[in-house]
Amino acid sequence: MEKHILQELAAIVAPLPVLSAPEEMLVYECDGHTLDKAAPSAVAFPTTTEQVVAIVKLASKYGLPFVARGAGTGLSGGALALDGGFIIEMCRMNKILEIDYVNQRAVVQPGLVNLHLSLAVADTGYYYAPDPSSQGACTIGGNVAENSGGPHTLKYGVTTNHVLGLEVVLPDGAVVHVGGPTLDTPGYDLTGLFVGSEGTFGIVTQVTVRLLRKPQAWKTIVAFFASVDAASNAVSGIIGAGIIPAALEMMDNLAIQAVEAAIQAGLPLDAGALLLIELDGIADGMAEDAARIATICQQHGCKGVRIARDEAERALLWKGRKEAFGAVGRLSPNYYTHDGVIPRTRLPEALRRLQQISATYGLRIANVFHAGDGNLHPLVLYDERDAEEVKRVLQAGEAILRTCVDLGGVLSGEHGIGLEKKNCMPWLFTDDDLEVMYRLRQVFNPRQLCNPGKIIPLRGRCRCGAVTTDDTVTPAVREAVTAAMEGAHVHP
Amino acid sequence: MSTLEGLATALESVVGSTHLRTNTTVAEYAIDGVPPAMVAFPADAAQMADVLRLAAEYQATVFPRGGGSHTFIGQTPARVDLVLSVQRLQRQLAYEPADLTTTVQAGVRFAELQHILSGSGQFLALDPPVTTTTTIGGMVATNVSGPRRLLYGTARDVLLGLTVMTSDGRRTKAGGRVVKNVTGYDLNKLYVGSLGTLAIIIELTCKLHPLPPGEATLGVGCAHHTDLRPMLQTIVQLPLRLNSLELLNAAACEALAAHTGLTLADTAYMLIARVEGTPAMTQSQEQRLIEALQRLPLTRPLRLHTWKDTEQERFWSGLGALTRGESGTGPSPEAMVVKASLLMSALPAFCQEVQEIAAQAEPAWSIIAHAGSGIIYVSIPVHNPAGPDVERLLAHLLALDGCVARWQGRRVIERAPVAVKQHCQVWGPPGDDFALMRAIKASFDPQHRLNPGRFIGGL
Repeated sequence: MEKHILQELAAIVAPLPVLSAPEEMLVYECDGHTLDKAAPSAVAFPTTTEQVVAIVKLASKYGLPFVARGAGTGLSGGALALDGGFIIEMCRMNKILEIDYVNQRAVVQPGLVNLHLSLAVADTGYYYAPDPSSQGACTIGGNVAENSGGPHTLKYGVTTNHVLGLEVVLPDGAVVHVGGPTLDTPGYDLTGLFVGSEGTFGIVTQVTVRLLRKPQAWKTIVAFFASVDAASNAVSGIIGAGIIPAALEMMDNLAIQAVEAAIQAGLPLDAGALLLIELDGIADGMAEDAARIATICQQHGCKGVRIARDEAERALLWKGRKEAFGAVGRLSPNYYTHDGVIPRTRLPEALRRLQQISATYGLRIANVFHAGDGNLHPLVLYDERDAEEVKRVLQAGEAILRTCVDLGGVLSGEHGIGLEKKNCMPWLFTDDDLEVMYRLRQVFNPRQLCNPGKIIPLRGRCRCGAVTTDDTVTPAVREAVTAAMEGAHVHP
Repeated sequence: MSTLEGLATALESVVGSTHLRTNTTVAEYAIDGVPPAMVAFPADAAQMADVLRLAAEYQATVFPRGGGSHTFIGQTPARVDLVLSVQRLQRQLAYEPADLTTTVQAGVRFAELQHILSGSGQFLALDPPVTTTTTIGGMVATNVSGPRRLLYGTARDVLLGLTVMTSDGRRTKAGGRVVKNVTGYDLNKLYVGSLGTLAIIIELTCKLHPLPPGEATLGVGCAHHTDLRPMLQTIVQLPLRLNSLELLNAAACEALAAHTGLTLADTAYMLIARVEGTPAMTQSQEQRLIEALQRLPLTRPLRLHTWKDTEQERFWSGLGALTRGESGTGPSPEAMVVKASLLMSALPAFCQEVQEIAAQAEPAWSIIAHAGSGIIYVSIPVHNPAGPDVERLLAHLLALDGCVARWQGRRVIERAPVAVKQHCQVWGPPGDDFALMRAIKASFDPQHRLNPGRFIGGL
């Protein structure tokens, strides 16, 4: 990149430095999707909306592409600077600006870490519901871009159900406000449209979110089954009986082994599958619902049910679930995380087909996923040093996504399309469907400088990667939360 | 032969003469008193596509229509060439109870769908004030909502996928049939509440919920507006499965009492809380509510009402009818209804300001709010619907707009005499995102033929 452009960029964000040395760019050449790489020319860390505007205008002046990036935990290459240009790293805009407990709202900057918001309001009895497994690292702005989910979205919905309004810098540098603290803003629901647009419509600089009261009570149940089939049928049984737990997660045997090795929670290593089921809400009636769930599990051949006795055991079980991807890393040098969705009644069939795919391609597949939503996360184990195996991994990945589409499902439940799956889009969408999406993007991003080359197929391959993070509240995290809260306007 | 006559002839060959209305038989399809040149009732998506292609060819304006129960929403159109009804698209295309999802055509009537779903112990968690003709497609296009939105959200929260027809007759889709989906842009959100200005909804997939095992409704009289804030704040913070929290002023209570035959508080305001669960659960929640409210230092002692069984049903269906304003759906409604959205905390003071404006007016204005969601409906009586006092109503609107602005809310005039609509922006002033909205409209409907002029900012 020409030196004078870097100087102009540096002047915008001064005194913070702009990164542009080739070795510094290595960190930014991919996000959690590690199979594709492309280095940006420069990385800047804005601290205000005005700086974001100035950076966007600078990029526009020189016709340079730019990509906003949160924590880089995304799993579909959304934060990858495919055509080079600027990465606008939002992590310095990580303040909580306002907390309004009466109206159960908060206004935050996009670089705020998801978990830090829940921690900041925890003592007052509130939390922010969307809880992706990477919530200890990923940012609210990144969540907005990807419309992130998490285990508890079965009952509470995904990011889009919790975002009320946004301040956005459009690719031409205009600042607009969509939605707001109040509901039913007249006109088109641009907030809903922005959420999940994967950073291709503009850069979010402020987010108004809902806060929820913490549930009065929880019950966390683990049920063990001899087979994945039996566990899948139990899932359909529970949903079909009209019980919507807060979370309904499944792990297969391979995942159980990995998780047990990591957390030593006493999970039976010979179980074919387990369901991690959480009820939450008011205490009244919860014991009855738990009993009903246990009965349904038994009707489907459950080998044992365990109910977490205390908060410590509950936390341990969830630690196992949230770190399961990382734990699977113990089984193999590399693994490749998929994210497909199927109608939940097709679970048994889907998992049988996954076993066939595993056999066909000679690859081990571990399953840790949101069974209640029908949101599969097959983890395909491999060794990246084996080029031939990598090839089979990609083929198996394609077969997995084809299966989801065949069964009436979709390509992604929470990780997004990004670069990774854009070439699979025609499996689901016609040219006319894609043209509507394309034209819509043209409205926001007519020069295609803002996160180019994502979602709508033009080039690239269909494949995946993964990352994990640690959710433990360390003193450093505490410190970060305190710093984020500094200067926040709090309405008690 | 005029252009429109040519279109009518062409349409007749698509839908058949029995499914095309022209001339004198179109009066009941008038929009704000503006009669359409013709009304077409295509039998299926293929006919719908043909109709739209012909409308494009003849450059006719197209006004999509569901059951016609909410056509009063929006600005008055200048000219109506073609009303395009989805009412013959009546099939339920898929329903797998264990998936808790269903796919229906847009013309399926809401009441009939709920009836089918209740057979499996499920429901579509939307409860706007509807009529027997209200269709699912129309509900989503107008984004109407009801008290249960507090717990279940609105159309945007239950809609999983849509199939729409573009203005040039192409069938395109958004979302899917699964409950979690980030595959491509979330166009569902764009179509919800877009009033048919972008495309015409022909199929919908919705997420369903299990019917709650039971419900209980508690009404609490509130003598003074200063008591409202602590009461609201207390209720929303209690551990409850609270699906509705409504606020009524005395005029609304009086009207509801007359409509339902129930006894309601004669206090300045009344709060209504509805909780759900098994009988044991609702009982303990009711107890918790009462105890918490009794601990509050209020200006007057609490007055409590509980409604069970048929009384409870009467109460909620009466409230729906009242919110909707059953009387008069044409261009001359008996009340002007303004819907404002505010923060819940602003509601008590806002209501009081509205009451003060209304104090000089006769008869009284009714206020019905989905208090927990900050949505408030102010209903201003129109003295002589046939010849409304436009000056007076506009003055009231101006005063109301002042309150909305002071409390940083937004408002929509849901219903008003046409003579009033002609002098005001029914959707309120657009925000700084309006340029985007205009560009989106131009991208979807470049010739500006879909429901033109009816939406925000003249879209």
